[in-house]
Amino acid sequence: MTLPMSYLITIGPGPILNELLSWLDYLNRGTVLLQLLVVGVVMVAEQRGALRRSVEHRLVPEYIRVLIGPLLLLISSALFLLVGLPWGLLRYFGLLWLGWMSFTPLKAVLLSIDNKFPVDELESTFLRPIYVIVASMSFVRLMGSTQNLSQTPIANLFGVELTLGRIYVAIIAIYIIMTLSSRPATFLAWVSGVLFGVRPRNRRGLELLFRYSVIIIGIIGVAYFIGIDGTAFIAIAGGLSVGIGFGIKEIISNFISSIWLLFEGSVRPGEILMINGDPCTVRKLGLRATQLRRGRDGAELLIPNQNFFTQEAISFTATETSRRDGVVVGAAYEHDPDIIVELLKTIAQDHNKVLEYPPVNAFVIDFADSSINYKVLFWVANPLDAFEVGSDLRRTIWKQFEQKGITIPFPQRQVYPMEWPPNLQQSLHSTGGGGVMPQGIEPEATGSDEKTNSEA
Amino acid sequence: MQRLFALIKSNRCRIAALLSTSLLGSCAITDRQDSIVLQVAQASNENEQQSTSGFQSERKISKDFQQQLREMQPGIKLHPSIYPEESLEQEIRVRTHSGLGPDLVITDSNQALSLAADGLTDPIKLTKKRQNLINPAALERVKTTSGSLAGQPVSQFLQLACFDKRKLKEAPKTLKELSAASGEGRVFGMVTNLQDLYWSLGSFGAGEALATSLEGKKATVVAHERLTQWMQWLKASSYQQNIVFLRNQAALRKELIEGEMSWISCWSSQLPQLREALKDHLGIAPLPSGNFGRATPITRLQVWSLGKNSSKRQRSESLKLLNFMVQPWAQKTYALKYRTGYPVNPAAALIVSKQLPNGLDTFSEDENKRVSRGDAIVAAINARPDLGKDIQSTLNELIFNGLSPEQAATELETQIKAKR
Repeated sequence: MTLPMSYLITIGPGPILNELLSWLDYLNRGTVLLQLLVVGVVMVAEQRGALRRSVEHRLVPEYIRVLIGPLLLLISSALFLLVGLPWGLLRYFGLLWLGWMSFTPLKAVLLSIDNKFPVDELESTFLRPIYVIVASMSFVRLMGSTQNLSQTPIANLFGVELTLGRIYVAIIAIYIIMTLSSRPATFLAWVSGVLFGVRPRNRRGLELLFRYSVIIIGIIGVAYFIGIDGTAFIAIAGGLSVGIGFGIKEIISNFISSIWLLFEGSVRPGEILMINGDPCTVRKLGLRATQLRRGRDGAELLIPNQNFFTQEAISFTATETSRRDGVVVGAAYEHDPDIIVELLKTIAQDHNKVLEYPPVNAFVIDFADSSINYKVLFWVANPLDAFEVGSDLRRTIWKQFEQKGITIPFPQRQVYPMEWPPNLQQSLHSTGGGGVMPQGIEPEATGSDEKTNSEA
Repeated sequence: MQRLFALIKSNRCRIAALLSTSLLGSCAITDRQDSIVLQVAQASNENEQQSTSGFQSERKISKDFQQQLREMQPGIKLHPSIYPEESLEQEIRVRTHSGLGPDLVITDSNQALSLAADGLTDPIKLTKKRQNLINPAALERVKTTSGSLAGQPVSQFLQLACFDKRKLKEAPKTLKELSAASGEGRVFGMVTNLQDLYWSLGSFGAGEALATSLEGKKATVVAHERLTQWMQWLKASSYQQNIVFLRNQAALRKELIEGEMSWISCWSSQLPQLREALKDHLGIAPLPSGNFGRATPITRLQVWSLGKNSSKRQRSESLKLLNFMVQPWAQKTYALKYRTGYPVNPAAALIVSKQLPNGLDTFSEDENKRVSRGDAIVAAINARPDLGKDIQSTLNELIFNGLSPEQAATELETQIKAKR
């Protein structure tokens, strides 16, 4: 199916520009300019801190002092009214400013009632967007352009004429759907959990699935609302098929992978996966990437979903959560390996986070240069505990070995200063000619040419 | 010098805002030297509470009119905002209080008077010469209690009968013919509110009873009897299967366009939508008369008033435009181009009456006198929303429920008298 580009989308911003330019004509009126001048003066004074400074010594809290500017505008609008001048613009800007500044005292009040109230989230996702919508709509209304702007066609998408009003409503609707879709999704997941006995860990995946469904249904609903019908969807699908082939292949691949992984249940929020040898907890399965938290340093990892889909992944929570880990230690040749093995087993068994079953085991793994190496293997219930348990065991092993006189051999290094130019005896020494070196002791030359030169 | 740079750097946002504002302002001023934008607030003529179409046809006409006007008056650009009639007053109030009020307000005579009374428009002074260009009866309808003019009449819209020529060869001339025709499987539609039904009062001579009640007097027995007869006709019509009463004009138009109805009562201002949909099949005729006399359709006078906030130049250009609009050339040209209204200029009316569609052509100066009574009643209802609701509920009771015509007539008189 091939469609001309003009059918897909045409944009004409001309009428909107005309409408906006017509607002400038109000600047011909002296009363409008006077009101704007007062607004400008008060705002500049407020920004320079002149208004706040004037009441600084009166023990007025900061969140009250920010209201001085808007209140001044409201008072001046009342004065304009008294002398019979148009006053609405002053009142409008005063109220707008007052509303914006009221968030601070409102937050303080809410937090004083309940300090766990998610006031920042409420402010950024709900209050401020609603405020911006109301403010922009009331401004357009004041300018007398509500109907003109809302009915102005600005784009033609798939043969559907899109007016600015429809686009505005569509954006608001999509924002609301995106922001609020998690609530019904959580509820549906909870209901499914109660009715069908879905495990809490699986509920999070289910919740995400419900959320995507709500968003998709919502977006289709909005598309129908703005007039994009079935034919247009076919056109979109046609366009997408080309797009998937070229540009947005990765995005679609990641999205499909996320849906697949959700169904499969292998990468769900709460799962523990090994990423480059580090255990990480899955925090969020997003549309494009999965967000994980690395246990080692708390770093947030964002890994494209298709990586999990196409590459191998090590999971510690797929069927069971327990993890086996080990500690390697060397002991001197003079100690009996049976005693060491028993000691290691006892140390591991005594740790309260080490599981009784599967049992702890210890092995002799190598006759190394200076020690016999042993490995003690143990199981923990939570894979993220393995690192900590390993550390605990190493500390205990050191202490127990110390108590029982078991030595852990390690290479030592001895350092001899050299003279320059070296005398014959030293030269023989460094080349090993005739000298006897204890095991593990290496000579090392210090000093540098520069130093020697300066001395020379 | 360094301090200056530092000052500029610290205030760069403010300086940018100041520069852009002054640049745009100067653009507006430069532009103004060639032409000036006049803000126009216009009440919708669609005559219905909620417009789902967003005044599409009116916007189309308005856009076309702007282009036409630009050819004749290149110095003036109109910037119209269309509002539903019921919210126009509130919108103008908000804008005027802010200094952003329109330069011109286009509405009907009753609303123009109400806006002038509320101080939202300035009265207009017309020279004797200009007054001679306008029908005296039309001027009378915009006269305020202090004798000044609330605005300048420019055109008038009439109530007519619109029918589908495919279903009805000829529109019924009398109410009897209407009843007979509706019996033959054709559906006739009317609106239940008094303003839209007022035309039929003339056919029974029932307007007198309402006018007397409006003055606070008791109607004569004869007048009361005529009002009762009208009520009886209304009740009898509601019993007829093929006479349908709907809530508003928009619903009626939709039914006619979709072929569900053959004949409806309509307004000349709404003809463009019907013409666009029905093309040559649209028939237009005067509303049917009764035994007592001719139908008394109400006319809606289109009045242009002056806003409060205009600058000197905006005001002088507005007055220039008002003068242009009542000149015979403009009156004739726009009446014939849009064929929605009748000119208020008698000379132009004479020229165009033969070229206007049937129904519009029979309108004459005498009609203005005949409709003045209906206009007074409609103005009284508009001014008092409670009265409008009471009358509506009485008519609904009569048409859809069991209220008898006698009771309804008495109730209507009492309501109008009580809410004087």
